[in-house]
Amino acid sequence: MVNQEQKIKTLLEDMELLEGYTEDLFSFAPLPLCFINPAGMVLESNPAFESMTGYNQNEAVGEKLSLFVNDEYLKEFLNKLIEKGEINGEEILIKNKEGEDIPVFIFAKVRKTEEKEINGIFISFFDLTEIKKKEAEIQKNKKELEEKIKEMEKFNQLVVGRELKMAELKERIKELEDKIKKIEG
Amino acid sequence: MEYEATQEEIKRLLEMKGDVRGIVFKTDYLFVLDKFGEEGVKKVEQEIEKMGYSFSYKKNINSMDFYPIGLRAVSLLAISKVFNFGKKEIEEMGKVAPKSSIMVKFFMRYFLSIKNIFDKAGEMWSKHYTVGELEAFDINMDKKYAIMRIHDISLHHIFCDYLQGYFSSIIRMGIGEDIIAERTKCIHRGDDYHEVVLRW
Repeated sequence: MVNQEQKIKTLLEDMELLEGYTEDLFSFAPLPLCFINPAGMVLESNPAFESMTGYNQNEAVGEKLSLFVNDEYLKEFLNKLIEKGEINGEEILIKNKEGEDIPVFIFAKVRKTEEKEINGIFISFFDLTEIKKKEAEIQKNKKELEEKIKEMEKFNQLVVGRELKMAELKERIKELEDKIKKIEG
Repeated sequence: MEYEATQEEIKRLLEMKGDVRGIVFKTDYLFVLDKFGEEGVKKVEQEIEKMGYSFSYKKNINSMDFYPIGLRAVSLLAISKVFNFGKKEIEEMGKVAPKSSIMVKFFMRYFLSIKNIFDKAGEMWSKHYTVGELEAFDINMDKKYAIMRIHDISLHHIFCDYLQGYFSSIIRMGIGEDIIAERTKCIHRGDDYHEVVLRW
């Protein structure tokens, strides 16, 4: 028979495991995540969010999301969320601690009470920085390639033009030689 | 040194009736770890041992378990002594604590507005402490203030400074504006209860 004290001990151990489990879910998520209230205040953030923005948990939690996103966009974003209930992959710019713009896809979903009142919003981000860098690189390469093609075309035109001129000149020389022969003959 | 406590006072604290949940020590631990690393944590634990209580934040503390209420003040006193913390730093500790507290996360669903937080304040207190009572006394949205009162608990004034920061951080989470907190009444100054006025 398990006594009351042992039961409490087991329950406390289980609660500690549960605490670790919920913390790990959020902490180990590779994508930047945060949880905000309907007023736009950050109530929770994970380490991936902290490395993306440069703000640690103590600096990010308790701040408005407008610390990271444009105020106008935040209003629009919250209105859209209230209307639709979720946002799936909208491209926006967020500002990090250094003031640099980071391109991201934003995903958000509202959490509602049983009375259908919104009591929180889960947000995740997909950092597009590397993709944008690659895109810019591809664009640069494409432009360089186009310029090379143009140069080649120009060169080709020049070469072809020169060939035609040579043929023309040869023709002319032949005509003149024929004329000379006639005069001499 | 802003916070002093004699051996008799520490003894009184450690013999006080009532319990506190381990989560408060976890937030202390995370604060010290963040600012001073493992070495800092060790120094604080040594200081607590000097005060007469053997204690390891990491090994002995379960967030959900109950510990002697006086240890709440002892932990803060040890931290203030080791790092020479004054009122400003202790208030800062209080401000940071709700940001990493699992207990506060349980209540996040109520963080819709300052009114909701205010209504749940008493419940939040009783989840942390088995003694004392937090009364959400008054809130005025037009005049932008809220008044919190704490009854029937007398630890040490370091705890009052800590709570001042704690309350302002919780209220800020709901309202999104900077909070100016002022302790207008305190049992340690001869009043019948503690009172904190929070303005935004």
